[in-house]
Amino acid sequence: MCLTVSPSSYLTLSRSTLIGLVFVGVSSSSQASTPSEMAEMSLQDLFTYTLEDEVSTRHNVRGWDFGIAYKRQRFEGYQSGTDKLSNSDVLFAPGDTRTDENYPILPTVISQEAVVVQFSYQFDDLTSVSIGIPYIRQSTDHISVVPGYDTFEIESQGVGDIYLNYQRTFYQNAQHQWSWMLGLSAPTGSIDEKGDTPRGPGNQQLPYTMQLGSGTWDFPLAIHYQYSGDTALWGANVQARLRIGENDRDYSLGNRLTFNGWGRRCLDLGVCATARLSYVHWQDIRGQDDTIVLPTSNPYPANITDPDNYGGDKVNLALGIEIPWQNNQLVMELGAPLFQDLNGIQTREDFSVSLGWNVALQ
Amino acid sequence: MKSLIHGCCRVGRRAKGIAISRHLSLGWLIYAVFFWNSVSVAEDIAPSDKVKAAYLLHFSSYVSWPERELSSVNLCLVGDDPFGGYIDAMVKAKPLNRHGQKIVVHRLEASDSSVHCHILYAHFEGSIGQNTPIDPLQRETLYVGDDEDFLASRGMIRFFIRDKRVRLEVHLSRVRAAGMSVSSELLKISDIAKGGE
Repeated sequence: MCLTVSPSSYLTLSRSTLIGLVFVGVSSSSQASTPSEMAEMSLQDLFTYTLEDEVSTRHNVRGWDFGIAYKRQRFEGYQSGTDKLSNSDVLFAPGDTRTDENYPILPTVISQEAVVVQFSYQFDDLTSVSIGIPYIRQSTDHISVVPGYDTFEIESQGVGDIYLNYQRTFYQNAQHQWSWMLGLSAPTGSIDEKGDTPRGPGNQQLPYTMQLGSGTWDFPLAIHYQYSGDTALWGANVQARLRIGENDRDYSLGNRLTFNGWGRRCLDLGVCATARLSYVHWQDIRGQDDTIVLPTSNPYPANITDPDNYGGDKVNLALGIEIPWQNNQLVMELGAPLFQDLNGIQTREDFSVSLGWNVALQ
Repeated sequence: MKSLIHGCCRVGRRAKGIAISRHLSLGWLIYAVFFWNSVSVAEDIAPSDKVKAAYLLHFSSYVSWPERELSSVNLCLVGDDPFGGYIDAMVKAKPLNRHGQKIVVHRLEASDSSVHCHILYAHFEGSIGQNTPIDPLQRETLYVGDDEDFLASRGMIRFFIRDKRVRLEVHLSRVRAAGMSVSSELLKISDIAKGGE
């Protein structure tokens, strides 16, 4: 599974959310123009500030930003709809009746980590393009009733789906700002990850959750709003990830829709506290990878091999802190779900943590 | 426990195909988003006014008032307001000066003396100078303006443009007479008004 494309219900924070939170822009410009940029100028800066240059570059503040973000998510415990289940509720035991609600193989703890490197280019004070390259590492602990596989772990790692985003501000004044984003995510992440599972001898194709990409061309879209209040910044955004067609393994990960509301208040010394409440809806998997099912009446050896066990609704709360210095910014966030309504039988999210560093390159 | 670490950088397969008919609505959405490109930047503030606003905020750090333990500095805007919400947004972005004092922006009528203005920026289109209608009751106030004649009366610091840059002219003796002092850092980048040494 690819952290950046969030193919399963395991992922509650999409790549775009991660990028939006961690890669908050540290604007780079040869001449300050925004209120915050002007407020940071020194006396000497003001003394040398050329009005002609500012006029000519008012919408031409070109520059590069660089950012790197680390994110980790952990999933543990089971849930069907809003009902919590124990591992023993879901694990098929010899003597039990095998149904589509119990499985002989059970993921118990899923850990996902991603490092995303992002370069952004600011064409002017309204328009920017960014490219992001995620590197993903994920592991899953299992228990099973298969002899020799009582407990086992599978891992996968590699480059995920590389994306290109175009963002443009279409309205702004001292208090309100509206912008939209359109992106393209290329299927560069592997969907052919293999590992040793109880399904058979040797290495086999791993389930959807352990793949590194979606295998499809995806379109991340977003509309952002920001309000500068008396004491804080407030914002909201709608993000969507639309997936086109099916991949080579005859499936497509579900589309995803996210609503975020957030607030940011800066304390003394420029350190800012952030809070974000998000609602996420994502769909189940369309199609199926036939190489991970069994030719039996109960074809799914683990819940994560059933395409219907994906999708659902979640409400997450995340708290963070931003520490700026010079052209740099450090961003940290800790999040956890407040509510989860999951399709089928899924592992529920435990927590997420992210750490990011951005720098405006001169 | 078994572990498999797969190598990095393996390029995944490309999408099998694009089901255009299923995504016509997506195409329209993309079209609409791409061509929704008209930008409206409200409150277009003149570049020189942005610089003046930044200077005004800096004055709170580089001018000293006789009042001890000043917890906040009142910046009053009198007359026509060339800054709009821009200066408010600057203060929101950086609410404290370098002494940790809070900067509070007030917009006052010329005769309003309800607020003790530590800095008073007077901007009256066409009626500036000796007739600048600012309240004579304000004391220990740094009077800042733009007009050529501003320093001829009560003015203490005047903005003017030279070499495409916003410059400062300071009537130092008047500032001192009002009990205030200007730091050497600010004086270094300022012209001293004739008769105001």
